[in-house]
Amino acid sequence: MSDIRWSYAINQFRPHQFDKFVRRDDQERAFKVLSALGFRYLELQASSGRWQPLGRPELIERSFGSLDGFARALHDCNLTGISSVYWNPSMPIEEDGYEYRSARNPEHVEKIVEAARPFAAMLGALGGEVLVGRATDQFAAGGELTDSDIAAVASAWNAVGAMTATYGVKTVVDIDTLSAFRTTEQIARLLELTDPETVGLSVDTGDVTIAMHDALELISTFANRLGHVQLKDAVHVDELGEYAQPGADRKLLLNGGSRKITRWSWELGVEGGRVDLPGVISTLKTNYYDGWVVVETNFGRAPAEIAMHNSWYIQNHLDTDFKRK
Amino acid sequence: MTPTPKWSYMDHWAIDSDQGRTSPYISRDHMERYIHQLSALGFRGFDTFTFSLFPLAQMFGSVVGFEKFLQANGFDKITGVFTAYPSATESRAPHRAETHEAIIGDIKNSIAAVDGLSVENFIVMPTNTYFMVEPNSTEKIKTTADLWNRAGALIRDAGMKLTCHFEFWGAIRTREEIDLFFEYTDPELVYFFCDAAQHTIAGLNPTELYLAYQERCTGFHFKDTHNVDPGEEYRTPPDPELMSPTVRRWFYEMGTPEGLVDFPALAKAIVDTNYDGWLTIEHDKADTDGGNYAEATCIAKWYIDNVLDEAMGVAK
Repeated sequence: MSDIRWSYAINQFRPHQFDKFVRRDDQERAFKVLSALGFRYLELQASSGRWQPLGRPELIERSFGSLDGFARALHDCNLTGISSVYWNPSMPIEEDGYEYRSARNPEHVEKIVEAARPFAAMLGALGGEVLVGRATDQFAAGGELTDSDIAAVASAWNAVGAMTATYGVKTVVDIDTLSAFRTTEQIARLLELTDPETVGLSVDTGDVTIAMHDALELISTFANRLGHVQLKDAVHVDELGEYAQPGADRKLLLNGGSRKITRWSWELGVEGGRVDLPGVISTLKTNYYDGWVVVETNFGRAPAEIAMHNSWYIQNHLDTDFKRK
Repeated sequence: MTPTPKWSYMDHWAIDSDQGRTSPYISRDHMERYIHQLSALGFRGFDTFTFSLFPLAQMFGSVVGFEKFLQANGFDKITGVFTAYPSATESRAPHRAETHEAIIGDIKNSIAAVDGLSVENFIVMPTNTYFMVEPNSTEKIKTTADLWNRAGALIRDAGMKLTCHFEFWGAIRTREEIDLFFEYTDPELVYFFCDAAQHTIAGLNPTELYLAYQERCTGFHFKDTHNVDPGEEYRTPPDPELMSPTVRRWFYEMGTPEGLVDFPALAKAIVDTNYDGWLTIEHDKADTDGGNYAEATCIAKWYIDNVLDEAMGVAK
């Protein structure tokens, strides 16, 4: 029997300003907002530096005294714990000497594994279950994937997966809007080459829709490897293929591309939303999915308003037992 | 066994839109979204202003149509309507008997506007703002009481209770003034509505006041404050709530560390006295200085779920 578990991506509460959402009291208010709305678990987003106190284990320890202190702070806000951490190994960060790493590059594998280790250890210590890794850097960084690229990426995630398994944590790879993985066949090949025991797939319903995939089809096709779902809606799609341009992360996602799309990530059930969200949940249940469904609506206007709307949508359209779980 | 408290929400909200910061009353779409958001938190009652009934009817076909929309989203009904005359005018000033006929006419119109509903509380601000009434006197309070006795009879006949909500800046604000007002009003016609923050700002203890008038109490506004009026801010023209020289924001949601109201004590008193009416969350001007209605309302509901339920012995 399917037993979907709900979580909420806390990064929604952090605006596009790196010096905001830093104070612990601001974070605890966000925890209480989500608790009041029925969520009991959070997904953290790996980040960097003193103004991202939820972004790395050592930063959490500095802000909350220890990982136990962080767990207590969550419990004090009536949250149960952490479901997962989202991590982009290609983001150059202060803590790793600002090195650029790509899962396509076999020479980077060891460094990627070691960069992932603190998050795996933290998840293990906090009872979290899933490390969500961006499968590879964006398309424009390396162009069209070759067979050997996919094999290299698979090797990297097999190594990460083997490492995280030692902490009791499953690794899942995420196919984002700008990913070099553009086709179902490429994703299938990546999964064929990875160990199903330690490496799974994450489907972000909004991101894959923007990238011109059918989210429902991806979930159905790869149901046996699905280890994590991020649930968001999308109104616009990248029908012009602007993911391929250099700097697409800023030009397309932040600046809206040539059509000046002001917002890509939408709350659940938004008017004009393209994701069949009831269909997604129904498909997950049909496939006996018992993993995490993490609600994420990054970069909207008012985080609490969006979270209220997302909770309402879940309660009324997706899972009538949501608040009793 | 403690009955499950019935929580309602007093209609204050603002949203970010493409038209800037605005009320949800700009469109039915925005109103629906606002109600969905409250519904997510499990509120069962909705209180609104009498001046909002007309736009609600415009958007939903009728006020009854709006109530049906509420009910489709988990609410029981519209529980209260609030009316007020903050400013004393030639034609509307409760302390001047010659204006009473006009005010009674307004009350009749408001009663007609809620026809077909089962509103329980007809909430009034019984006086104008203090600076427009002063110097206050026993005679003015008695004249004010005469008005609300008369209105209370009409409202009772319409199946509601007239209940008085005292502002810290109203002309009835001290314990002596409140006692005098209730002495002159008929307990069968005029009731008490306890706003925790307003009384605290006025230097009163809302729990003590509730216990003194619990037999006449028909509702509460659960909101907090960080400041007792430090002097005579209540006299500030034209509006002490927004133009006080020393306090930029008077009202806060429950659960802020600086909050002055002892809500667990108030909640316990409510249980101990077997009060079984509505409890209302109100966030008046919650977006002052960067605040946010949605966040404040979630925090208040978190406080209910995690602090007040325990104080009230609510079974989980």
